[in-house]
Amino acid sequence: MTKPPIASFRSVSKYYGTHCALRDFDLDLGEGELLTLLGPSGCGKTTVLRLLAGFETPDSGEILLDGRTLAGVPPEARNVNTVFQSYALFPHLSVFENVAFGLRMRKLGGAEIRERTGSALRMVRLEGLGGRRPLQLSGGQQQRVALARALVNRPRVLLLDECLSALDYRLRREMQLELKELQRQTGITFVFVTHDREEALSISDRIAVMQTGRIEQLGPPRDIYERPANLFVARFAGESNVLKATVTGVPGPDTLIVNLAGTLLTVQADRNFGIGEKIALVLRPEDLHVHETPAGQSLAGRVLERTYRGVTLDTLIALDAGPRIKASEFFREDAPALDHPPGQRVHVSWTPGWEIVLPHDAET
Amino acid sequence: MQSLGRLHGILIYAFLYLPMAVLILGSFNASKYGIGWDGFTLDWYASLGKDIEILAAARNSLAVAALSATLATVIGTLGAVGLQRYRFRGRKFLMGLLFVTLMSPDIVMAVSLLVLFLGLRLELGLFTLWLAHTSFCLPFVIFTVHARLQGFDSALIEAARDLGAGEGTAVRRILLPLALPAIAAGWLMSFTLSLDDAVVSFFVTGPDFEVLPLRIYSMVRLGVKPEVNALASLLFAVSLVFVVLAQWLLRKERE
Amino acid sequence: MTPKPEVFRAVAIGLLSGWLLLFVLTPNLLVAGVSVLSRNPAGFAGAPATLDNYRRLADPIYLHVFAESFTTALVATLLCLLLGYPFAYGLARTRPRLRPLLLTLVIVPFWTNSLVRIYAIRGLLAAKGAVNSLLLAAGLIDQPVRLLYTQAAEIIGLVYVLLPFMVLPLYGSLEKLDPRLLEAAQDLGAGPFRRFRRVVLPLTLPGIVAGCLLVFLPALGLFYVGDVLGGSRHLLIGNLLKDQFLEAQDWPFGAAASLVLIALLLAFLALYAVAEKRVAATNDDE
Repeated sequence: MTKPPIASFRSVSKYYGTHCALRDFDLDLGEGELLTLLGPSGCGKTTVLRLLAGFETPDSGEILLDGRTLAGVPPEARNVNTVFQSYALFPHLSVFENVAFGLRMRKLGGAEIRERTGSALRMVRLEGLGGRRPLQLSGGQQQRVALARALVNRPRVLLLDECLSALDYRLRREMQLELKELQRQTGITFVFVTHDREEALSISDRIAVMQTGRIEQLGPPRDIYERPANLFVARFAGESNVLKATVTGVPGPDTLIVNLAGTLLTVQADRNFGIGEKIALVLRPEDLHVHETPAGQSLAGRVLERTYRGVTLDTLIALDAGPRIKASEFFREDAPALDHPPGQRVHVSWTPGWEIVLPHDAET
Repeated sequence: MQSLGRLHGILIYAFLYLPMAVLILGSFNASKYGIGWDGFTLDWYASLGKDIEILAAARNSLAVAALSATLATVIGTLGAVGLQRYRFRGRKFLMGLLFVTLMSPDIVMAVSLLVLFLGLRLELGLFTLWLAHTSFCLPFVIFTVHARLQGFDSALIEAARDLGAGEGTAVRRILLPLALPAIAAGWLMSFTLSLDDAVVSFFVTGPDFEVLPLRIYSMVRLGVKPEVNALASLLFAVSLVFVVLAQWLLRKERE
Repeated sequence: MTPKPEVFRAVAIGLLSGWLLLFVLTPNLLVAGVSVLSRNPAGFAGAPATLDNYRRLADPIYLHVFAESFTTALVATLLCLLLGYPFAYGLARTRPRLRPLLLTLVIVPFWTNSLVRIYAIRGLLAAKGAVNSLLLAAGLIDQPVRLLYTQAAEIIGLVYVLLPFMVLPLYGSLEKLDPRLLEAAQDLGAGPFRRFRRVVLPLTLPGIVAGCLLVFLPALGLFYVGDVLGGSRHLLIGNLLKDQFLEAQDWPFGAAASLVLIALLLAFLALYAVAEKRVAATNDDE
């Protein structure tokens, strides 16, 4: 980032009673980016939003918006708007009045209010529904009203709190695309909170993966998925097979020879390990191939179970080395031999270099 | 079993409404002693309108009811918002006190307020009635409005503040309009409650300030006059209208 | 920028607390205080402090009033419960479309002037009232029977006036009762009696306690029921209080009698809290 950040958290901590929601939290929000806070419930991601919106005050540390501290600034005086998880549309006001609420609070003129509210409704494709009450709209439409109501104020930062979680799967996909599109059109910085990794991976410019009040990793979706900083991120960003192994040789830069319960494997690592060090080998199910004959570097085992999943066929395999791993293979016209019966001896391979090697955390 | 239950229900409704029906019928009966039907008349109502004492009592009753309902609604609405929006020391105690007030029999309240008013050397009359009636209406307003506020998404106020409204504006523009049906219902209920009270009024009013239920009480004690039927029917009619209106408001807002 | 929230908060909470302290808590504490003072013709009550007033409550004359009043109130309460419970149960199980109307029909008498309703009952029970007229017309009796000014009349009047106060809390807890619980109990082999005793009764106990409180205590205090229906032959505690405070001007004694009611109220409320807590605990378990 060359431009100064729009908003920054400087070692912010927040406690609820004795429970620590955020611990020495640092984060810079860039101009016009879509940043996602991803993590399990209780990881502090919603607290980040509430602190920036002003509904909570930090116990220590500082939050800056455009370089100025937000300490003592009430929510109504912050140029930041929120799309609530429940949408929080005012049930007694029409859609138009809901969207116009923020402009009225700023005491803008009637003509400007009409003009801006109208264009906000057009932007979310709700023109003509301004006279309705929120409860007369579908879930997806309510969601769009909530978006328009926040965006019409042209906030510096738009905060979206799990706002797609109430929608059904198909509608959610649609709204993800629409959000991304809106963000590009308006150029406003979006901070999006979710616990859905697919959602995070598909819409974000950057993702901050959070756990127990801290950021575990901050980076573009691809980095998060392909180069997770630790096992927590690896597991949270996608389905993973985690295998424990020990380093037995370092033949070259970024290359390791590891011992996985007797099988020696050559793997690529983007950090340094010493001989004798314990590592975790992470293999994504969709990167794995299952063969009935040995093919290059592979792990031997026996098929336990097969699950037909439409697009993929999942195979659960008990490795001779002990652990079980899962492979998800896509159907291909030219590979009819995907279907391996339970009990069949198989060999599991993957494209060299697609494995992820991580330090062996205490948690495994 | 089911039809037995239905019969029981019908009998209970008959029990609740037959005496009132007979009373109302009697108020239109030309027979002075209510024995047999001597034809339809509005004489008893007409003579109510000529009775100066009854008119004065009616005026007093309406004044006390309007004043008490209004004050109880103002304090009760503010209090309900306060109890809903803020967590403070003594909040539980206040809720408990309200519940005790709601449940206490009229006579306990009547006696204690009499002791207080005379202890404060207040002259018994309009003012003491106002204070007393406001006190027993208060819990009804608070619980009605509070129940309504409880039903809201707490994010509504946050949303309003997020969009630039101060706390006061948020309460005024969002919370109060949403709670308005409950507030209006609270006022209507308080008005009936005050208009119908006899026990508390009996203790805390003075000889110069009579209200309708007390007037009825002394009329009944002096012997049955057909005018009492008319007056009682009128009071019942007012309660009926107000209660049905209040119920309608509370039901409508739930939809 | 805005000190307003603080002002609003202070006003909202301050007004309510102030009012409740001044007009609910203080008066009751005053009554408690007066009950241990002596009668003082000049200023209603004064030194020396004494427990005589409570001792006088045990005087045979007053003991008799208490006993009679308690019996009347107890019978009225039990009748309300027996009539009201099946009624409330039926109400909670009627079709949702019909329920608002039926419920309103119970709420209307709840809010109607109880003196007016007592007067209506009196009209029915009078020597020349509707009941006697009907019985005479039907040839069941030769001359009017005495219905008014009996303990039975008082009890009928109390049940008539207070039945809605029993039905509404009962309805409240019966409506919350999940019918699937009964199906589950039936599925597990419980017959109708045991379903009622083991499932319905414990879960609606708070409603029962609240209903009994709202009937029993007013039944002790509604002095005009005694006046209008019982003549002066059957006195209620309410009549005693009225006489002591408004006629005999013996405040300390009246206050002691009133404190008996307050003690009963608190005992009922404690019972209610226990019952409510038990039901709340079951809900948490689910």
